[in-house]
Amino acid sequence: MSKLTRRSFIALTTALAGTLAIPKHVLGATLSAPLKPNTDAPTTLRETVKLGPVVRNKYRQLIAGSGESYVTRTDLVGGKASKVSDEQRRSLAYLGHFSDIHLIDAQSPGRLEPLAALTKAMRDATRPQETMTVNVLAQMVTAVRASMTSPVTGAPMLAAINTGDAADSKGGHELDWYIKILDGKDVIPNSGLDGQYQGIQAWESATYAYQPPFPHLDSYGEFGFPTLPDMLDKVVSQTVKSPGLPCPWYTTYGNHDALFMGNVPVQPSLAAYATGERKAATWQPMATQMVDWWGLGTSSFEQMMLQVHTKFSRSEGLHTVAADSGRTPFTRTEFMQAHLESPASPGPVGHGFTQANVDNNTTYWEADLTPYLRVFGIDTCNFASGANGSLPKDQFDWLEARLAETQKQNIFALVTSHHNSMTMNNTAQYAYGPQQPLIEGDEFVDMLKKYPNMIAWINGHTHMNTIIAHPREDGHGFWEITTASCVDFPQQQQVLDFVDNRDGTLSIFATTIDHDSPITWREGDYSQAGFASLSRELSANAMAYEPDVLTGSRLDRNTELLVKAPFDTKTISDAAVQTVVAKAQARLLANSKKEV
Amino acid sequence: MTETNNRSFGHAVKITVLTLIGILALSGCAAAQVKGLVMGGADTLMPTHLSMATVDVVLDKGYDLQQKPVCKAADEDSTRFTCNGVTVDGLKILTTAHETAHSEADMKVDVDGKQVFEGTMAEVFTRQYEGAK
Repeated sequence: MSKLTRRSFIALTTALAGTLAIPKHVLGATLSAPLKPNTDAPTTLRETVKLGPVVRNKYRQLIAGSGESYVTRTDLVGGKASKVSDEQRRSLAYLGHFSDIHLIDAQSPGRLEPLAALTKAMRDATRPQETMTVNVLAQMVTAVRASMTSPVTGAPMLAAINTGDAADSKGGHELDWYIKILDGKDVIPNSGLDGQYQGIQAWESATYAYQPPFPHLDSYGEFGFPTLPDMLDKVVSQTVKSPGLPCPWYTTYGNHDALFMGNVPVQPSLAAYATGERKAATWQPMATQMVDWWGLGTSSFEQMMLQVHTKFSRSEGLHTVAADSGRTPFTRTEFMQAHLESPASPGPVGHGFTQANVDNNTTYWEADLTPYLRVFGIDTCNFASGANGSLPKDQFDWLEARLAETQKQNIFALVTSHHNSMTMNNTAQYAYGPQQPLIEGDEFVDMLKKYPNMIAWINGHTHMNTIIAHPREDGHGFWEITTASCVDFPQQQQVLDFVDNRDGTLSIFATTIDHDSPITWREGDYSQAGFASLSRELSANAMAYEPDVLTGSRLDRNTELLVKAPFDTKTISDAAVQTVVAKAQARLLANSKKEV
Repeated sequence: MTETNNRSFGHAVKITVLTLIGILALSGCAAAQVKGLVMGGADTLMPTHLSMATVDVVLDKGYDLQQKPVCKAADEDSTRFTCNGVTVDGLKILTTAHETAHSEADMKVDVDGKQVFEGTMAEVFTRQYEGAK
């Protein structure tokens, strides 16, 4: 397979140096150096996070555990993996995978946390660590940025893909913070009143929630959650600085981006409630407010009377907060428009979404990351209701046609979505109005299996590291790779290296990443990384408080996933791969100047 | 300021009704307007959790897996599950489990017909989370 000639290499270097304004000798030195595995990448290959000693009642610190090496999975190919030398292999694409970031504007009246007291199904309406999500994302970006070259092959990251739920409650600030942190801008994770937290974690009657200033009033205190008198005001006062991603990043649409609290469509009454100056600490006044907003008509007089009533009513458990129009729930179009307005560098413009998406109000897209890899971002959200998803028939047909085309062209396909095969079971429809069939997980998997060039489906939703093999009888098939979230323990994301073994197989190396913050939180550490560390500790204890299984097994974390090559990979020349790598390296060099 | 919460039973009923109406108002959908609603995914995840627990048990016992065990309920509404897998050396893995509560199950794991674990799923996961003593 032909490599770049010296003349081609010099021409490419000159062109990239000119386009990206990088000194030619600097770029030349980078591009001519052989790729080496990034052994410094802060991945779980080096170190893991484990539960440590009990410090109060049942509350435990976190401590460092040993790293986890790769487990080779041969589910699709059968037998034992053959030995492949590092020299023989070449990386075809190295990607970052974010999902379920769940940035939370914890003070918004539109959050309706009291629902957590009503039903276990709504327990995520409040979380102990909910004020620190921006800090966690910034520290996750820092960790992924330190992993911009592969721990396996040294290949540069071509792109990072977020498979949905950037926002938690569909709030305007949440969307704004998401884009700013990925783009490397500063954020003060606050809304309403400057420098002061106003919300349920500081209101004594909200006993269903963790209250850092006085946890002895709630069951979290009994568990041993810490007393942190100043924490809430400090976290909403401090600027979070993000280094940003130096590679292009893409977004797919999640149910928390699409639906209020990930479950129900937003109505005008909710939008008014979210931006108003009354917030309920308990479910009784929250219900009354909802009925008030819903029941009144839309005449100016009625609206005025409602405003007066809301402003001056003195219901127990209803608090006055600073109103903030920035909390307005965003629409689907506004979500995409915000992505289109994000800077072109690192880009890409729209981060997957295009002006055509805005014009058609469709939220699915495709992008060619290389001449031999096409990514599809599909929208599995159910807009009628419900957290789980499905795929509308028109989108299903579109994707199948596009997969058939990539198959003919010997182009690898990667499908990205928010929901996974376990949770594509929501076929809720409005009983009236236009309808189309909604495709569930099993039928979707069967369709994907028809196209062996579709080697992986990456997704999220369940906040749980999970890797499932979907085999075909002829030895082909694909890997479904689900990553954990930024909000719940273990607060991990992942990087994926798609490697050509040049023996008729491909290996997908999945590597989990913890965010860049101290594993053991030091009391009083309210630095940016300290807040992220505290968030992880609280989330780990929240997991013990209400047990859940989100880390996955060893076969769901650091793994080498073997799959039969769907076509002769000799059709992809070394020169083509070298060109892709050189462009990505140059892009990283140009965008990596910012230091925090 | 401490708020008290001592309401009469009748008042509580009234508030419950108001809450349910409020939630429906939020959703903008009466039940008749939405068909086939599924609120959450926890009910579909028990087979995945059992598969993960089986993997951790089998790896801890020193076996490498050829395939991740596949777990299924005995029938759609059953709380009884079986998982089948195979090691790289061709030994059969069989897990039988009984779901006892949300995200919890009693389970037994056999490799090649020999029982290698009996306990709860939580025990398996807790062991995985534990750091060095």
